[in-house]
Amino acid sequence: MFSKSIFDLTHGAYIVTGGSGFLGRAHCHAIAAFGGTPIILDLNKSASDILLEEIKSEHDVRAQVYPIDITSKEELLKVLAEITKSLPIKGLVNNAARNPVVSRTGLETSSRLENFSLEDWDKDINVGLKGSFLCTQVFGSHMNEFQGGSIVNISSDLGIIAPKQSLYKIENKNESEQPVKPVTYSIVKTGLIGLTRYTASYWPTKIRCNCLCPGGIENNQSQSFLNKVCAEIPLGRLAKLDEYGGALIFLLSSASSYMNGAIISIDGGRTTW
Amino acid sequence: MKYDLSNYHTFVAGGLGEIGTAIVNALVAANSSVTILYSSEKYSSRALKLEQEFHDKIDIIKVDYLNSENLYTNLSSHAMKGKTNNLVSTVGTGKVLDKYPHSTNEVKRIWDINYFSNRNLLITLSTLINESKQLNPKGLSSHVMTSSVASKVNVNAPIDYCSAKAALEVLVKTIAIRISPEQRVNVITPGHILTSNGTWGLKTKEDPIGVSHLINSSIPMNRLGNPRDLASLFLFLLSKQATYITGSSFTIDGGITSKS
Repeated sequence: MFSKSIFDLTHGAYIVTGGSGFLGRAHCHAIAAFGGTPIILDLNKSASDILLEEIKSEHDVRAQVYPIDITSKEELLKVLAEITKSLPIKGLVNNAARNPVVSRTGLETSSRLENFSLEDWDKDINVGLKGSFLCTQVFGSHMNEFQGGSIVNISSDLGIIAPKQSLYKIENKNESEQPVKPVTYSIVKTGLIGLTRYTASYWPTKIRCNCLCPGGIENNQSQSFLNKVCAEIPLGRLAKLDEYGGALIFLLSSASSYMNGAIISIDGGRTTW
Repeated sequence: MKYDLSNYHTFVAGGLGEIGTAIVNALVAANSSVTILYSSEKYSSRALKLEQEFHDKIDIIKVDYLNSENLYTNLSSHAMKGKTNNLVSTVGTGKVLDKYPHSTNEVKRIWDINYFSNRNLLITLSTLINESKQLNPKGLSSHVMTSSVASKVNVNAPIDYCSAKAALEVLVKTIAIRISPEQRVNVITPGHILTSNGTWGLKTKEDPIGVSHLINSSIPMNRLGNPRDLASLFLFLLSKQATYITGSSFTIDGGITSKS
C-alpha cells in the first residue's frame, strides 16, 4: 500500500549543478532533508563550503563539493569517477544558469537585444545548455548503465512565456536604455524543455527525465517591481524559496515513478494563460 | 516526504472506481477524512462494502453530478467546518457505446460525464468554500481534476472524449484564476492507465499481443500506468508542498507525449 518511503532518497547521490546558488542551495537542502547526498557542482567554492557545513549540521548528511566548470567534459568525468567510489548516482538536477539581476547597474543597455554581446551569448548558452547537455551525457549515461535514476531540468516560467519587459522598466529612461531580461534566458530555459523531452524518450526504461518551470522567488525585490509582477500572478505573490523543494523531491523519488517527460509549472498560475 | 492531511476533508468524485479507490486509500493513509461521491447504481454494492471496511474514516453518498442543486445540497451537508475542504475528481469515461460519427445522445452522454459533471463539481464546491471561511480556514483548499493525454495528442481515443477533456483543461485554467488565491485547482493528464474494468483492462483481455505491441511502440517507459502511480501525484497536489501550484496540467504518461 501507500508508504512514505516512496520519497526516500537515502543511499543515493543527487547531483545539483549551480548547487550553491540561490535556488540550488534550496534544492540541496531538500535532498538532504530526505536522506539523499547532495553533490554540489559549483565554481563558487567558498559558498559551496558554507553550504556543506549547513547541510551537515541541519540534516546530518555529508554532502560533497566539486568546484568545477560543468562545460568541461573532462572535469565532469573526473567527478563521476570520484563520486562513484563511495555512492551510486541516482539523480541529476540541471539547475545551473546565468541569471543576472536585470536592474543591476551597468546591465541596462548591454542586456538589450540590439546590444547583446556574443561574449555574453556564449557564456549563457555554455552554462545553461552545453553544461546541462554534458551533465546529462556523463551522469545520465552512467545511471543508464548502472542503477538508473531521475533527471530534473530546471527551466522557468520564462521557458513557457516571453518575459514581460515592462516589469523591469525604469522611470525617466528612454526606451533604448531600458533594461530587459536577456534573450539568452528565454533560449536556455526553452532549450531545457526540449532537452527534457529528448532525454525522456532516449533512455526510457531506466532514466526518467522531467522539467520544473518555477516562477520568480521572493528575494528582497523592490516594492515597485513586486507590485507589477504580482499583478501577473493569480496567487498574487512570488514564491517562497522553500516552495519548490516538494516538487523536486517528488520528481527525484519513486513517488513519481510513472512521470517521464512532464513539463511542470510552479508559478502561482502565471502561465495559466 | 510525509503527507499529513489530518486537517483536510476531501471529496473524491468517482471514488469507487479503481483509480478513485487508490486515491481514497492514499488519502486515508495521510489522515484526510473522505467523502466519496458516486452517481451510478452499478457501484452501490461496492459502496456498501467500502463503508463497512472504512466505516469511521469515510462516508459515501450517491449524487447527481448533472444537477447543481443536488450537488450543492449534498456537498454542503458533508463539508467539514474547521477543516480544509478539497475536491478530487476522477469522473470520466473513454468508453463510447456506438460507432463514429456517434449519435447526438451518445455525444451528449460523453460530454455530460467528462465535462459537465466535473464542471458542476468544481464550481459547486469552490463556490461553497468561497461562501464560508470555515470550510477553508487556512486558505489551503486544493482541487485536482482528471483529464487525459487524449486532450493533447492523438491516441486514437473517441473524438468527443478528446474534446471534452480538452475543454476540462481550459475550465481548470479559467477557474484557477477566478478562485485564486484562496483556493487552487490543477489537472492531472494521465496516459494509458491499467484498471481491470477500464479501457486498458478490457483491451488487454481482448488483444494482449496488440496491447503489448502498442506499449512497446508508443510508451517510452514500456508499461501501462497503474492507479497508485496517479495517487501519489494527487496527494502531492493536495498537500502543503504544492502551495504555489495552480492552473497547471500534470502529464503522467510514461513519456507518451514526449515521444509524440
